[in-house]
Amino acid sequence: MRLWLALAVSIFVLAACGPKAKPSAATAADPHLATNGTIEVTAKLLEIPEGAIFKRDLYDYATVLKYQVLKLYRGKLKSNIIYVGQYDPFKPRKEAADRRVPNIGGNLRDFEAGQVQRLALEGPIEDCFMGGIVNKYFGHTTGPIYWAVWTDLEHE
Amino acid sequence: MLRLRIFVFAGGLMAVSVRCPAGANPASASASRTEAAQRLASEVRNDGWLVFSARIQTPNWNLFIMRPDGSDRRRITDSPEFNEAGARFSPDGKRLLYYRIPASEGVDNNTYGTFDLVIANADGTDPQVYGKDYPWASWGPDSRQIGCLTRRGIEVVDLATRKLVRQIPRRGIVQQSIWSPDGRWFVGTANGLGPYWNIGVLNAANGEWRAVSETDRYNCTPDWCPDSLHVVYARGIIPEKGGFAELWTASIDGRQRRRIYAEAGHHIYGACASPDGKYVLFTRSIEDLGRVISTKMALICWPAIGPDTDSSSNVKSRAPVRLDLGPGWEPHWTSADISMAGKASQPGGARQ
Repeated sequence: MRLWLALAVSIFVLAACGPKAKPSAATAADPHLATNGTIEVTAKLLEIPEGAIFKRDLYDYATVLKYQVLKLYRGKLKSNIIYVGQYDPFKPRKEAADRRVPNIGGNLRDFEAGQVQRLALEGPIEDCFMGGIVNKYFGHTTGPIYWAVWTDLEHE
Repeated sequence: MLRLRIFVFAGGLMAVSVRCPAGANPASASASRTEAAQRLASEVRNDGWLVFSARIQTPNWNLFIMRPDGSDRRRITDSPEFNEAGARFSPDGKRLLYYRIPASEGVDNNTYGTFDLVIANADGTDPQVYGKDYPWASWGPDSRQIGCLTRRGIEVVDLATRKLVRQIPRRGIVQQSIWSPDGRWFVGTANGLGPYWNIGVLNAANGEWRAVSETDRYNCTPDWCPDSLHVVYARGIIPEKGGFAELWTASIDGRQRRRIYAEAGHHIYGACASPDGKYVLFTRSIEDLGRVISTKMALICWPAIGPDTDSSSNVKSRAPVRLDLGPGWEPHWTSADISMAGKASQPGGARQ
């Protein structure tokens, strides 16, 4: 009996201390995704170019990231490869909004290549953001750069 | 051995620099630099006025005027609920534009021009609040119009009627736009010229634009030289490589550029050439701005073109004599006599 009890306790402890459940399809329920921007997608973050994300305490910027669209929920896109501007990408999305860019957010904590994210987008970026943009894809693409309004993590 | 160099150009004193080779007596070199700085101060003392923002004896940023040598400093705004920043004299020296920012917001190099525009007399009297519809305003050549940088484009506004006169596509310019003295160009910090934000010059007549800074690093805070053929700007860093922003100049065709001033341990921003082009003001900051924490101002003679003023030269190899002007941010210079303007209008604001 004691052996069974110890085993049950061990399983409980392991379960409690194991990896936390990651945001998943539940993000689809996030009302911000459906109510922000004019385009809504699930997309894979393909890479983070060297130097595209850096932290400087005293200045704010947007960086351009490359995504592969996996599913389009609303709006129109000309390609399944899209370029998206993320404001202050060194901050968790829920902490990124400020006076200059007040209406952005999401549950994503850090940007990592390979992540599948659900995004509400607006575009083009020029109409949404008057500030410095790091675009490591400059000269490699002529398509529009979209503006990330809401960014949730679907899965790593 | 101490060597003092004097460059004479167009019949006037153009630049003074002191070189102190290895083995020189540091105390002697220091004394000579002090003397050279004193000479520089006496040269510029009566050459108009500067306006700048500073936190001096108050928690908020106020506007001050002073002589170009740092003397006769006077506070011209006194509003504890606001920071005042981004001040620029009109070309005729009669008026001043600046931005009024809630004190709770702080002052930011990249956003100050998005707050309430204020137009006042050059001595700060009779401030008229124009509000938030006039972002990143700069004076037109006739002192009667301003050019504002909005999302819609660069908008030329008649100050008397506050009406839009014309609109010019802004291309990639996003902040710190300045109208050229001859009215033909705008310069600003811009996206779309390279992977980072760069200095772009825009033709006001046909909308053509080009990068005048290097495009492989971050650049900001441009301004015009009096000839409208050259700009000054902060040649910024590459974040992953570190370093400090330097003061550079470039021709508007983008073909010529060179370092004007650099300093180990300080970022140099907010360059402003004197009305006669003989001197240049700037802001020194330990922090990489962004949000303005604690900055100081200084003045040097505009350096003559020499063999070791290009980008490859060592910062310390030939340091020009620097006249330190105390705490402050983004000074601007007029040759007009503001003290007379103040007497001609209402009594001035609080003075120290």
